[in-house]
Amino acid sequence: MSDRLHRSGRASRVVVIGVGNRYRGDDGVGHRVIDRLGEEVEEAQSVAGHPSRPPTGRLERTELCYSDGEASRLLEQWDGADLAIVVDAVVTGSEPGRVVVLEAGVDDLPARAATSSHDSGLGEAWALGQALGTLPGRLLLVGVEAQSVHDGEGLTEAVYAALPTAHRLVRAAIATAPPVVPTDTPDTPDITDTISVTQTDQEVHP
Amino acid sequence: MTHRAPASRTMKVGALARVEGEGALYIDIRAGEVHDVQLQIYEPPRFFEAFLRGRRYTEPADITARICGICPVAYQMSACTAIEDACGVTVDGPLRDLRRLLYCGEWIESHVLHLHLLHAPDFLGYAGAIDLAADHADLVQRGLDIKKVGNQILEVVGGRAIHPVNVKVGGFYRVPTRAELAPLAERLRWALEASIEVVRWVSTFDFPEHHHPLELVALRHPDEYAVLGGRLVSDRGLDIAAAEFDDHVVESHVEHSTALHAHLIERGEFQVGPLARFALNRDQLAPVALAVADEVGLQADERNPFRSIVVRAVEVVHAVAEALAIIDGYEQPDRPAVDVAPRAGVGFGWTEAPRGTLWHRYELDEQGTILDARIVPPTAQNQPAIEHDLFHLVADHADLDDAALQHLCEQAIRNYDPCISCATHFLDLRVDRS
Repeated sequence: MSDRLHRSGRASRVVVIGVGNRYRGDDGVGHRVIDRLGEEVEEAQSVAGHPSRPPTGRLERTELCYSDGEASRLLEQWDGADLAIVVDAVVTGSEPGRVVVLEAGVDDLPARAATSSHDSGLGEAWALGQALGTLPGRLLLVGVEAQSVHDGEGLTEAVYAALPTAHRLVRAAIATAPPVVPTDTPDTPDITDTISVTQTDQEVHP
Repeated sequence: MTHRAPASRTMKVGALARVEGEGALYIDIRAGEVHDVQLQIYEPPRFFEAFLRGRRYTEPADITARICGICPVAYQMSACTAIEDACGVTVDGPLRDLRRLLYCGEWIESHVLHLHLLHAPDFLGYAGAIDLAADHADLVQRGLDIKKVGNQILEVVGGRAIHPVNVKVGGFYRVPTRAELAPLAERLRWALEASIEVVRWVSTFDFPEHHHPLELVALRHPDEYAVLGGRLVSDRGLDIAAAEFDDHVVESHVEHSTALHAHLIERGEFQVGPLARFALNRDQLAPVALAVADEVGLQADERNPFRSIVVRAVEVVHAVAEALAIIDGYEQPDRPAVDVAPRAGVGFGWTEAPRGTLWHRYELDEQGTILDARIVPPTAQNQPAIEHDLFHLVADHADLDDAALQHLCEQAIRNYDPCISCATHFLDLRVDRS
């Protein structure tokens, strides 16, 4: 990034949104990833000002949100973001615990049967944001294939084992956000180049 | 009633769109006569009342908030006031004002969401909010911006926008400072003008004619457009206290719904919600809301449920004006809550959720353990009213083809902004013209 851009730019805004309901089994995986990121962001913020460690300008500025995934709320939560990363449980019929990274506008987002606002989801939020012209610079979905979304707290073994992978993929996505966004010319690096290799990643960490 | 249908038919809508929760609609027309109309609610029951038993009297505020992601404040407020009633405590003054402020935030959020994303597309010929936004991005964005002000109230006063965590029996865990509320006032001043424009916009819609009025029931409070408590009154003479609810309202199970149906004893179906509140309490609206209601010709004798969208818009103006007034006059209370010591007894509480009156009843032992809990949400009360409207609508419009009839019926259901998830204890349309 050139000095000119640094002078005329602003710090990029990264938002990570954990979608789901931790009282519905594996649907809580998005919130669990945010829990862990919360500790790391706090840690990064506490050392960011230390002279021995110059701020990288990414993790400590990352905003974290918990969400129920309702479309209008998602629009609010990613409003003005240069990069929004949504972490959610997905049901695609794939192997439970499999983690996928999809980019809105490039990949097809998993659709829900949107029969009510309770059920309106990411795909609808994306379409509404597109119609309104209020999409984030980039929107990534880190989706974890759910095994069970029945009542009750706690993840299934397969989804619990996928937490480190989901977390690592979110961190990788955050790290590729530009530290500074030019206020004149958009210059967003291609995040999917960096993480495409992990699109069907599945690591098991017992 | 007209019966112009050329044939018998059955219409089945398997999953109703743009309602809160899961439900279906079944219509059976035989030889031009409407034989049966069912609003089928198949979302599984959730047993909240059962698992409140044995919990502490301090817990329902957080447990019942989980019944709904759209109107958690209503559950928290009805729960808290019922338990305070059981314990002989009244929360008044600035703490009650803060509760009203939080409730204003929920009314704004819930009404604006329903009005823009779920109901307006019906009147303008769009399949949904995304199609509406494609042609009218400015109008939809304005709605979302107003809704955001409601969310911000919930965040500042309630601790977070979904399932607020700052509400407790007796008041709050922490009360905001004047400085924390100041930025809200700035956004509310913008929202006041914007919400007046929303009333003007929705008042220009084409409204289907429908004149089969039901008894309109809402809380009435001597000093304000009732939200937090009061007496339950109707346009046909009902006037009762919360403790008398059971003497006048009976709940019964019907096979096609996992939500209990409510009727007024010896009076039948009744309607709660914005149209009822407006009919009974119009004179108590904030002057700015009353002025815009006058401007668009909305009078207290309005009975067409299709015009409830205009009433909802007027109530948003009212809620914004109320929130502004509360913030402008806010003095931080000395304590965030009053003490509420448990005692054995029964308590009743009711408030006006965005969709209508929400009644709670709790029985406590002397240690404050909940022995029994009952919750009657507005959508459960409105189910028979919705079926009443649908029956007459289908009878009056039986000549319409299935697609047009289905659209009209779904629009009519959305007049009530039903929250099936709350009531399940909702829509999928089947029309039987066999």
